[in-house]
Amino acid sequence: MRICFSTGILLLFTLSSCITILQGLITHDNIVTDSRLPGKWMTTDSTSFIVQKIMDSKFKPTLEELNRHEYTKADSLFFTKLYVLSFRENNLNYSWFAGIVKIHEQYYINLAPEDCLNDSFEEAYRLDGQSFLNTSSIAKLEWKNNNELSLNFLNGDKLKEIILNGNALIAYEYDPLFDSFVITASSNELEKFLEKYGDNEYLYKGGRIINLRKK
Amino acid sequence: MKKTVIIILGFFFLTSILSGCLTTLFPIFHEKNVVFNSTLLGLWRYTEDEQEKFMEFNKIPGDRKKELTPNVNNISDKGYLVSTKDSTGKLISQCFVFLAMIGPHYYLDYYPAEIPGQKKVNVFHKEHFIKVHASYRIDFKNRDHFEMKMFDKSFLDKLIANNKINIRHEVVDGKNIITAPTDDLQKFIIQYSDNPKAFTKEKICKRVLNY
Repeated sequence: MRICFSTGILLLFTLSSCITILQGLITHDNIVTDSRLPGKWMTTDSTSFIVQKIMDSKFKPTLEELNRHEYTKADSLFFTKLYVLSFRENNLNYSWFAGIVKIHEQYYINLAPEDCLNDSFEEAYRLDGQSFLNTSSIAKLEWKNNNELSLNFLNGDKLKEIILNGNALIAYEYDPLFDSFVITASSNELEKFLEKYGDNEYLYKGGRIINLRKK
Repeated sequence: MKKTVIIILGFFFLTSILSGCLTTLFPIFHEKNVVFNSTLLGLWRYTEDEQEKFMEFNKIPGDRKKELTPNVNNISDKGYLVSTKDSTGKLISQCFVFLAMIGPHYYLDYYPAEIPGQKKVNVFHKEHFIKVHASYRIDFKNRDHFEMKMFDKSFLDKLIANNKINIRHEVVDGKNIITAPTDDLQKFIIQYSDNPKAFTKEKICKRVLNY
């Protein structure tokens, strides 16, 4: 059972690169919620995911934290609209932040990994002495019914090629020496990009697809 | 007012990039700047946060070069695989490191290299963490002693805030992420290389073993 579980996740997540974006797509103005999202989900390969509202998760801020950071009412409202997606693989526990945006009647999900903890609750990937830039990715969210949904990720390799060839105007940085690529467009620019190209199936072809069914 | 999710989350969950060290998307060196100095090979002791630690400089082993891009592989014979270890000798992390001559001084450019524990991390998760470069000025004192000091990110942040420098950056989490290309980074380095305020306290490294 455990072997199937792990293999399923590996297959899901090793198909092609996702597109990495520096600024998240979600803003105070465009974030929406969907009551169908929280719960336990399973992929077609029996991989389990748990989706929680952030205020029901381990990331719920304490009152002390809220006071310290002088949140506005809008900030707090925004925070309550976020979700946490978690799963376990190879004895590591993953947590991702997720937010939903609706553009032209189409829902998109913005995913940003937060931690990857071993059983001693130590971060397993971002180690002392190493430096990383934390990015997020975008998938089209398609509900088949209330208990089935599909996450279609933009094909990162394809989008990178299109951008580097000058065929899509969006802000990015690329270092050819270390092959580092990141989209630096603002949230607003990302939204406009998806308004224009979000329905273009070509950008999703070959990208990761995660099909989920509610447990 | 629009704010990204990152801003909100950032209040709680700072990422490793937001420490005091200046990190950059681009390396600080071009291939032509890279030099190899065999003096660095060996095991070095230093103190950080009042704890004794070790840095081991090795040449990049052949089986680790596949982790580098073809372009970086062209200069990998001049690079080092640096292992950071705690006082018990336990491996903390590794980086691919290149020594570069920029202006009149030497600098080390650190780029993450995966240790076994990181290899089992989900690929999709890893893709969201772009490896970036951390840079240090290095001063060789003698064969058994060198000092390295990081660029202080707050120094650059102040220059940016006061419009005293024009360097490409993105603001994420309310913090400046330096996305300037290598040429611009080198201009900054050369301009401020002798300004003590541009650096954090030096790390004194003393040789333990010679390879």
